[in-house]
Amino acid sequence: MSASKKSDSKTGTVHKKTQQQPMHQVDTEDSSKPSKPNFDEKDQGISPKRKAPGPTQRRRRGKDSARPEATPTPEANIKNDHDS
Amino acid sequence: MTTILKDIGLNQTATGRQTGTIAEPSLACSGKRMFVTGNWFASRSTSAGSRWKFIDPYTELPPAGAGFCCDQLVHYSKRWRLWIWLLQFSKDANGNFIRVAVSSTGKSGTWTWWDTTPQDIDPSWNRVWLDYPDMLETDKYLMLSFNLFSVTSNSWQKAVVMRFPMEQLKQRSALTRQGWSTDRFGSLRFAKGQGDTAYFASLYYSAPQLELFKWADNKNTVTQKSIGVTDWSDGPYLSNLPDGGAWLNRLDDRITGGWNTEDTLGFAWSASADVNHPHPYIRVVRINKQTLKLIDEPDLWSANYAWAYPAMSPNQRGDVGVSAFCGGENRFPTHGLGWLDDDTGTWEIALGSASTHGPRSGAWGDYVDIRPDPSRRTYWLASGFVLQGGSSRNHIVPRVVLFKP
Repeated sequence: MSASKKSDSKTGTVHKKTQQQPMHQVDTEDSSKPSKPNFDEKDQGISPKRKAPGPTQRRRRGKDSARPEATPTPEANIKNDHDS
Repeated sequence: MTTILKDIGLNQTATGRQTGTIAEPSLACSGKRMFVTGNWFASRSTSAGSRWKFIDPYTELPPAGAGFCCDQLVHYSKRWRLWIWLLQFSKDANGNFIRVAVSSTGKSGTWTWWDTTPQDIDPSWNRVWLDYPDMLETDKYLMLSFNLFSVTSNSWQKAVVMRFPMEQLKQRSALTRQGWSTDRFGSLRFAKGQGDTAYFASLYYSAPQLELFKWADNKNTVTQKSIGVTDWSDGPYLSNLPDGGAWLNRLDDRITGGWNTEDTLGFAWSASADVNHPHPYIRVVRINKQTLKLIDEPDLWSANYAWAYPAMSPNQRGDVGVSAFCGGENRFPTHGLGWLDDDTGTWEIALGSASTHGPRSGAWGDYVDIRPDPSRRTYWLASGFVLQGGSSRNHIVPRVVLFKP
């Protein structure tokens, strides 16, 4: 594997290339079996809130905030909306 | 009009009882062969979805580092006749890595893979981990995007795009990786489509702007264009199910869908209710591919319930399809499929499977998938999931849907 150097620009940073040799699956039956998690615990451990999507949190606006457009785009045409 | 031709559920045998309520299903298809992944299973069919064989992402490939974690994506390259499987591994004190595995058949025992750590892209990236993957094939490259988080604080650090030559993946040779990163914009999403250029986008959080990035196969630089769009509201995402429970607690306004056709680029994300939309809905913007200027904003919304978690893709004809969820009021989370009618600017939607319950945690997501059917010009294949018969992870039923305009 080769080390990388980088070059910066206003948009972002281009990182120089690195190389990685492949690994091949010979026989999965003989591979060591890792312990698996308790899936119920794993499911319950998921955060109710996601991690931040980016560098800053967007200002949050309420339901009454007005969008500049006067008329919304057409409502979706839902074919088999029989349960609602 | 949208016609659903098949709506296939994966039972607990197909998923090895390893489903999670944040299901995140991804799918790939070649003829009758299908490969579906989700939290925390994989499953393969050679009978167009009639029968499935569970594949365990924890054991199918040898363990490494802190072990397999969670997010997975799959893709079939028609051009290279290659199945591509991305697996995200758990973090430890030093970070994590992602594994890209390839196979000509998708059968057990046929996979070759390469592992990539954040340090492989930049040696100075220590104690950080990769999460929230996206994947795109261009003419020459497999493109991957991630967010990079601190191991210690879980705070967002950077967004990263990597590209691997498809020819090297096909040849199972040493893989030349190239990376690009930004600490200004997060949660990058690719515009799905074909061509020699990867388009990807993020939302700017200080102003209503979409940041569009372009990385051509023959360039070593990424260009950026800021595109002003109509403002939207990011939360609270209020939508109560028939039992009074919530289902959008994890929702935010990051881009989850994008497309790239001959003439247009498009991106989509979830937004909360505002004066014109009584429930959370899907913001959509279309951009002229030549001028990179905004064309219009054909949002997907309903007066009766919420829409969220859009995935978008063109079919082979260039129509734009969507896979997303709707719910609220008197509807439990329901898989919705459809396409954008260019003539009317209206989303033509058909509802797929509906949940019988809401999630116990109040959380749904975080993404679904949609692909052009590789063998039928106007068809799409999409992934989704529903809760059937209860509210726990054991009641999650991943879905594979074939539909057309």
